Amino acid sequence: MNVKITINGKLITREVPENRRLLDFLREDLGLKGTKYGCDQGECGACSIILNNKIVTSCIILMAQIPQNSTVLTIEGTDHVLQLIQEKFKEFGAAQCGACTTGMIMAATSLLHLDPKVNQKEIEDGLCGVLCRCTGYTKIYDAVKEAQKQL
Amino acid sequence: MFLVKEFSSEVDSMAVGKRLKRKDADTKVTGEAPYAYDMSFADEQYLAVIRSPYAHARIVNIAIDYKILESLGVVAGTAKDIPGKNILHVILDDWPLLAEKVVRHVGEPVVILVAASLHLAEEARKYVSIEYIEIPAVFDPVEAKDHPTIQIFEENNVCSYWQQKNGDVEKGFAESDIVIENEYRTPAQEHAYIETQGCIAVPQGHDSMTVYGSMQCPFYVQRCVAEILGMEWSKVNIIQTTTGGAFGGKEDVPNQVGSLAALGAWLVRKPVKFLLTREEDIETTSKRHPAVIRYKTGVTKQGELKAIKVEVFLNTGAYATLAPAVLYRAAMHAAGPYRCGNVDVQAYAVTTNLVPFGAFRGFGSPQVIFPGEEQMDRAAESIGMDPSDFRELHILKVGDKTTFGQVIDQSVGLEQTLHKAREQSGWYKKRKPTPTIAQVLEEQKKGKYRRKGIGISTIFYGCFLGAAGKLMSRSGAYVQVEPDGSVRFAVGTTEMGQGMITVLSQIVAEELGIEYEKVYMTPVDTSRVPDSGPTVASRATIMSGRALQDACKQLRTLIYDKVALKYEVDATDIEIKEFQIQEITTQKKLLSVSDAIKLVYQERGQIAVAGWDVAPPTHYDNEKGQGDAYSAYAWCTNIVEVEVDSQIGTVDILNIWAAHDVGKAINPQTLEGQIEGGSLQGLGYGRYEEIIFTPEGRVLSNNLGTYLIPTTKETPKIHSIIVEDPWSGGPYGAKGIGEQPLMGIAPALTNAIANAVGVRLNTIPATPERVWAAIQEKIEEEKV
Amino acid sequence: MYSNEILSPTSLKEALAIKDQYVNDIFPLAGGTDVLVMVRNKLGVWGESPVLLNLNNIPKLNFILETDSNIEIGPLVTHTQLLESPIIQKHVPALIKAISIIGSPQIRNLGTLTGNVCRASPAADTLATLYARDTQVQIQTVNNSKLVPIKEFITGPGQINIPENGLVTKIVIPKLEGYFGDYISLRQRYALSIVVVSIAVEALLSKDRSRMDDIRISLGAVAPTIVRATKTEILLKSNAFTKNLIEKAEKMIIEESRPITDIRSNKRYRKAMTGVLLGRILREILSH
Repeated sequence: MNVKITINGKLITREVPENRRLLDFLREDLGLKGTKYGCDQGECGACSIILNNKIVTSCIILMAQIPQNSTVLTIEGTDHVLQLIQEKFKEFGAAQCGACTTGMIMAATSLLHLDPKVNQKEIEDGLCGVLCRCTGYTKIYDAVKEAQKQL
Repeated sequence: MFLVKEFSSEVDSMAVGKRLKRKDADTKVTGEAPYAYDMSFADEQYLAVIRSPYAHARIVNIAIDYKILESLGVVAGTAKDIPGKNILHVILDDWPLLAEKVVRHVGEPVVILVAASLHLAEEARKYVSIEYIEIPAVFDPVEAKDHPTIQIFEENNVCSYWQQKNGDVEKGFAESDIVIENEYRTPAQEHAYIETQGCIAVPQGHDSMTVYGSMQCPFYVQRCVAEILGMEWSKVNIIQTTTGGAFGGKEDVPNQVGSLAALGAWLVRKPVKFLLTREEDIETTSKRHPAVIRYKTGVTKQGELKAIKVEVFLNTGAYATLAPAVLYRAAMHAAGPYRCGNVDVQAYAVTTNLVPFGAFRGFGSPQVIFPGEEQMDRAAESIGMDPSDFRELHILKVGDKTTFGQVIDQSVGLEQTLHKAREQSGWYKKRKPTPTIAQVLEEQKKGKYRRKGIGISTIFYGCFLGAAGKLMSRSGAYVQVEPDGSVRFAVGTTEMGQGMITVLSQIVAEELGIEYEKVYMTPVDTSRVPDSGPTVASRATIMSGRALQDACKQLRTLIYDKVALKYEVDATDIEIKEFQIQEITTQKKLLSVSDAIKLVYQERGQIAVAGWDVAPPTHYDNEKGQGDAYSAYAWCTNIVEVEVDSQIGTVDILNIWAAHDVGKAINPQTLEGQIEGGSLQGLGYGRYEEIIFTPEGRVLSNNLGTYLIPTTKETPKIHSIIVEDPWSGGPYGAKGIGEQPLMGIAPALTNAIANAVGVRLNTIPATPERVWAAIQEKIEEEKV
Repeated sequence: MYSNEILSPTSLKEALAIKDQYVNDIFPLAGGTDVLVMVRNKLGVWGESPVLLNLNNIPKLNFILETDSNIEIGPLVTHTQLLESPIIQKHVPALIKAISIIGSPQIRNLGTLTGNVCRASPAADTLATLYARDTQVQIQTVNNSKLVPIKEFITGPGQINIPENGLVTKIVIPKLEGYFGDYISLRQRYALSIVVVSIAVEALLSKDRSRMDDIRISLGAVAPTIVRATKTEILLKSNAFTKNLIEKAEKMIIEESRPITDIRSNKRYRKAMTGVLLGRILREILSH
């Protein structure tokens, strides 16, 4: 199939097999390896990206399922909220091993895009789709809350 | 005997003790840090492993259709194709890379297939047929020990034995008013690192081999690959890729993963990638040893702790791998951080036909700490004492002897952690009398079925490898200053998320008086860095730190000499303060450290040095069951607050207070990160996580949808409390933090459940089903 | 990772024609949260790499409509859309409660209600409420369209009763005026997890609140499909609604449920929980 998709603000038109996963399209075809993975079946959230303003796990989406003229934001993208959260993750030591980090940052970005004023409970709900085994989520909350103050 | 730099407060420090930004943060938040799965090589091939479907079977025949495989471009390898020894060395050398005559667990590798695509390698499975004859299998360690017919390891299946003996335990029980005896069971816990295991082997013909991969201990992998390929160790280079979590799971398993890839690469003479799927990872790699623990405690009505007797049966799975070391830690930690004159600990590691179990944060200790701390609570309960007060009566203080006879003469912060945790949690206010089951039911009738409870555990952690691992208790470091004033250091310990690069960089910065921002760690490549021993046992900060201190001290002397010459001052009268070199007597600033380094460079002075460190002596006499088991001890008090639904059995965790005596917090932020993450992993162990095996010995919960680790929604507020009672042997007094945050959470949790609803659990995790069943049992027992 | 051939029609008519031609050799694909996992894990028929009928290019299948007596939901409607829909919030609040705890935001943004229905898992969160509502499933073929009650549509775990050339094109939830609807589920974890036991109730009290004029109780994860607790329903409808009756109902639903032991929980616990959960909902109704 011929896809027409805007990824990180850049329009991409190319031929791609319909049964290719969005994750593989990003990582292998476009070389955007910042999107990681950990389970291949939507259980760990490491591959989370923002598709048409919604957070999704890119390991269980086939290119055929994506409407034409869709937009995708990945960790490599330019976005005010995304960059702010990246900074705060660094400042608060919210990334340890890093394997969930980019998925977690995308989930946090999506959450604050939808509502910058979310409370602790809503942050927990918003980030529950990404498993982290290192941090106990505590420093991640600190980073997200600090980012909220600057939005 | 140790040189300790006096280090009083943060005011004096240039780097140590500060919340400096992690060195690895920049590339991790952008996703640029390269993990094994992000790497690719020209003409790379993929590996698939044909594994045993049986828990125990004889291999009768392996039939491979080489003709078809060749036509497809697929290469197969069996044990016969291994050019060197078919042994993955860990401790006892009982673990083969590929099974030859017998398979001893489901998932054991038998044949490898290498092809240009993973799909092709997988498809080629059908051209290999392996004929097995199943033989009886055993999965329970108590049953396996001295099994009359099933033999997995030597004659009795016991691959390791350790004991503790102190006083006369029978006399102790005779003198007790109350004796509490229970059998406990703990589950297999999966590491569930987010990045699965993976290695890529890149051969240089048959001359040498480079293996890239996700791992904790590259020098282990180096030895295994060399021995498998029959190469000299120096011809094998292991390069650690960014490692996405390990927790012990990447201690010995990469020996296997890396060696399988290396064998494949040897056979096809091309780069071979072996990345495990989540299912393959959970089904076939190590986990925390499940255990059966029989525990007997004797106390008097006045609260004396008279006797402790423990029998430990660690289920090691099909091969010993790390079991002798894991069991040592279990045996040493079995009686807890208490003074008790009569102790008998008998600990066995027993092989069974499950997947080989291995290292996991805490390393054998969580299995005995859960029963031990349950028993302490039950003892306190039996004499009507507050469980924190009861512990306070018995915890070790400076100058006390452990149950295995080691006098601890310094750095015993347990009492401080107990006081601080109790104070910050509001323990005495929150701790309500434990209800009877009749009270619980009465409240249920009024529609109140949620009850809060609070529980405690006090633990110690024997720092580093201890007497059982003393041969590996050495560490190397290289440090080199660059003409621009920056510094590069190399150690063989690894970063896997815990923050080691950051903390070691702080130590180097502090020692040399260089800005933290100018210190860099060389990526770990066994051909370029010294062997610093394994990155295990919470030892990297301390052991690599000490080796770096050794190197930096030499380097400082070299720098001082050049400065002394140039400025015509006495080299012994020079010190570093706030990134400047100054004369001690006059306090006159001479030049910046950066400029001093330039000076050394211009003067053709030595700019690179090597440091070395050997751990302080330890010795354990297993015949006597006594000895100096570890160099130092870290201490911790955990308090957990829960809310239990007494009708449904669900346990929600509200708060964790985790007070840790770490000697010195080199970086409080990364330290808190360890406490928070370890506490949650401990909570997983106590409340949620359990590998389920089928009756045939296969892992059933083989993905992250059936093996459940805590999400944000199960995570309580975690309060980190740092206590610093310095140890003279550690850099700046530090003792390590990696493991102890996990170790004592499970019993603090089950003790809190007991306080909430009055039932005791002998098995973790504390699932709703178990808590509910315990409540039902109590209702029946008490006929209410 | 996926080698399936994919057909992506742009109209329903075209989709039905394809289904008519391929019959059992093609499987519909909407959100994919389950289908793609089944294909990857080579489970059952999914292991044969079937052709996938991708419905995502048919925007007309994405609708939430309110008619006089029903709520109609199209096959492409995701869980997130339902959560955000004022129509669902107003008319099927128990469904909102069920959907809000499905998986994670990531999964809710992809998964669809119709997918849930067609996967026919006894543990699916949405299904208990749909059963309590006597929901109907619209099945269409090239030349036919009919509405089938959900309890006839779902015949077993993962098994549905659909002609080999049929597609589900609509879920029809009857409106219930004056009913109190609730849903409670027990799960091993609060996110990204599957139901251990669940219960959905739709109850209509008499004007004087002394009796149940109507009550529908459905249970999840205690049988091969979602089941209605019909005996308990009858008990509750035929007696005065009192504390005493609630206790009887708790006992009866425990009696009536037939759960099994599996990886997620055990039979004894599941059975007992049906009583506890029903009791909680009924007491809530009684106290209001």
